[in-house]
Formats: sequence, C-alpha cells, structure tokens
Amino acid sequence: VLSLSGGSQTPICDVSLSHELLQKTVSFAHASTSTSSTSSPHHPDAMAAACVAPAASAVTRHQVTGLRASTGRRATTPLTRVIHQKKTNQKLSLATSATATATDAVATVGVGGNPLAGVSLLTVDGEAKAIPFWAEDQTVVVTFLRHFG
Amino acid sequence: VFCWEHAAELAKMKPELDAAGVLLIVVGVGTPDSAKQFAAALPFPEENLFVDPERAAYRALALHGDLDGTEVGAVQVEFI
Repeated sequence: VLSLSGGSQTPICDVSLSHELLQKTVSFAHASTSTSSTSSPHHPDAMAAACVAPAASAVTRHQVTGLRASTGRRATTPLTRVIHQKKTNQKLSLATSATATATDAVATVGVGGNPLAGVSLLTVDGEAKAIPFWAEDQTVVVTFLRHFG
Repeated sequence: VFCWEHAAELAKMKPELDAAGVLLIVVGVGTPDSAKQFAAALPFPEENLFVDPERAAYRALALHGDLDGTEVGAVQVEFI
C-alpha cells in the first residue's frame, strides 16, 4: 500500500544543513561500520532527502532511521524528507545500535521503500542506470542540482 | 550558492565520503553532454555525476516544483 499525503509549502532549505547532513552521514557511516554486528542483516533501507538551494541531497542508509529515533531532536523546519523502507519491526534494534551523531536536520515524513527505486538516470556517457545501482547495504548520498551550471 | 559551488564542495568532501564508504551521487537536469562539460569545468568526478533528463527522480522526491521556481510541497510517503 502506498499512501501519499501532504502538500504543505516547504521552504527551500539552507545549503549549510545539507553539508551538515553529509557530515553526519560520514560520521554515521563510520559508526555503523563499528556497530554493524548489532545491525540486522535484513535491515530496512532508508532515504533522507534534504532539499537545499540550489540543490537537494538525499542519504540512503537504514541507520538514519535509528539516528533519528535515538536523538529525538527535530529541525525547526521540515528540511528533509526521510522515507524508510519496509521491515519496520527492525527499527528499534537499529535505533539502539546507532551512536553519536544526530540527524536533527532530518524531519521524518513517512515510512516506505526507496522512492527512487526504478528511476533511471544517465551517466555522462549516456548509459542508463536504474536505481538502485548500488549494493543494498551501501550508504548513498544523492544530491540534486537544478542544472549543470 | 550556485549548483557548481555546491558540487565543488561535494567534490572536496569526496575523499572523506569514500573513506567512510559512502557513495556520492550528484544528479542534474540536462543532457549527458552538459554533464560532461560540467564535470570537466569544475572538475568533478564523472563517475559520480548523473543526468535525469526527464526529472523522474525529482518528481519521485517532490522536488520538481522547486525547479519550476515554485516552492516545494511537502509530501508524505508511506509503504505498508
């Protein structure tokens, strides 16, 4: 079941928060490596998309869920979209394994699968690449530019 | 911050992302040729640069409104 709702007007985000999110992703990737033994091999994937001007960033990694849950802090504005994948019953274990950094710039707006799944992008050589073209447990930062300029 | 500035910042962060095992993907609206020129001009690693000519990914994340000069509407996605 796919449920779509919303429609509130979200201001374009501050690019500094995007960088902050990236830094946290790096910290988180390090932390998740050290705590990987506590994570389920069937962990849910997650995506956090931070819209910034003029670009937008997204982070895919299941532990983002845990970080979000563990900090309990929220951004003052809904800067980021987080879409968590299935297997939500494993969120709690991921939350307890998450450490350190906060994802307070992340405002969770839903639970679900990777919204980019099946979307096809082109390489600079024109080769089509269907998302996901990375390993399931790969941490991915996706940044969206308005244009190449 | 212009797009190229943002991409340049990301390019600077790439070693750190690589070291952390984080895959960086930068997507832009345009053509492969324009992306190639963009990568060469910055410079930015081509392997991390992708084109979304139909804005499919933007629409999937409800970012397309921003590209049209309008505010981005928040969207809630839930898979049950």
